[in-house]
Amino acid sequence: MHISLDGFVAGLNGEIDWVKVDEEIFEYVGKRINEGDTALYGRVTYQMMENYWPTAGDKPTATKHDIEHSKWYSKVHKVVLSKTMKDAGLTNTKIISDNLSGRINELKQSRGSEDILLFGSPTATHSLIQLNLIDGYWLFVNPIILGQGIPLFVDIKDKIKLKLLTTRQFTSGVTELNYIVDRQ
Amino acid sequence: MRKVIAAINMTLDGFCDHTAGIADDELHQHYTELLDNAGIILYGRITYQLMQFWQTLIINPSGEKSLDDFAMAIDKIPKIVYSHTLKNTEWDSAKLSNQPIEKEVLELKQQSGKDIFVGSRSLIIQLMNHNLIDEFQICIHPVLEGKGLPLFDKIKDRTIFKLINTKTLGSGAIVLYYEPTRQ
Repeated sequence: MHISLDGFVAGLNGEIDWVKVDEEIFEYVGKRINEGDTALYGRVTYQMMENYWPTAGDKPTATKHDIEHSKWYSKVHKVVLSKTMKDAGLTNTKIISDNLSGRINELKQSRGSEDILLFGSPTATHSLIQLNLIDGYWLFVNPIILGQGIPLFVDIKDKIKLKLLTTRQFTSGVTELNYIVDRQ
Repeated sequence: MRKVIAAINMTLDGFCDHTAGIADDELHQHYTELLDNAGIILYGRITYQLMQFWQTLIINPSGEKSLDDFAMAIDKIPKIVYSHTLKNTEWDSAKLSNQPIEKEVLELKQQSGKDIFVGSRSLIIQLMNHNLIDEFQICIHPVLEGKGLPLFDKIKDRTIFKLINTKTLGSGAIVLYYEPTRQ
């Protein structure tokens, strides 16, 4: 998840023009996401992905990252949280529309020790935080204060302790903060 | 010219809460070094009154080196306290001010000396809105507190920073060092 220093994942109208991504970050992120074969999305982010990635690798201007990520996207098992979508007719895509806790826990068990990454998707993240279903936060802190926008952390009722696993400083000024939730 | 540096702790969800962080030996050492290299530190009343706790360790040292070192450092550093209600600071190295902070900071910057640190959320916000902070040293603690006073509150414009450095502490706290880019 890309966040601003003041904790927003997007501007008030969903703007992400401030997010700094470059080859260095793509390559670094790619290493971890290629290890897993399940990707979790909220509906809005999924629809954005669906509009872009299936064909992104075929464009004449496609970069190395576009081609690789496009391949990964078509191959990965996609799980989408949505109350309105149906999974009929979708390839390699499953919809979770109810019993979020139960379905996510099933998914976690079926994947064994593999991490399930939730991409972007602030609304889905908020639902999962509420249900205590997030085991870690992999954040890319952008060197910017937005002042307003969609916050990542909302409605946290009880204090959540975290453990910082790794951190990395990128040349663009982005800092990776990789945490797991400390359940003790 | 000496810099104005905002140095403060916040939780990962952006709140400044004195009790939320992990105040271990390493954090105290970090802030002791910071104070030893500072020319002056500016506080609002609330943070200042929290800091007055350290006066008790000057009289009665705790025996814990990191705490006693920090107490000595904060005792030594000149302090300015911005308050309209305090009558006196009850600390020789602290003086009261009821002047507008932006005016006083501009004057301080003209004087020679080591950097000017700002250690209170309210003062940082005021100085940010006057574009008077030259560097941020934000120590992010590995906790989601869920409530409190947000550090970056009522900031109207986007501010773009340059990341200068990071320093990770054993507790999982991380200090991010930024300079605002002036546009």
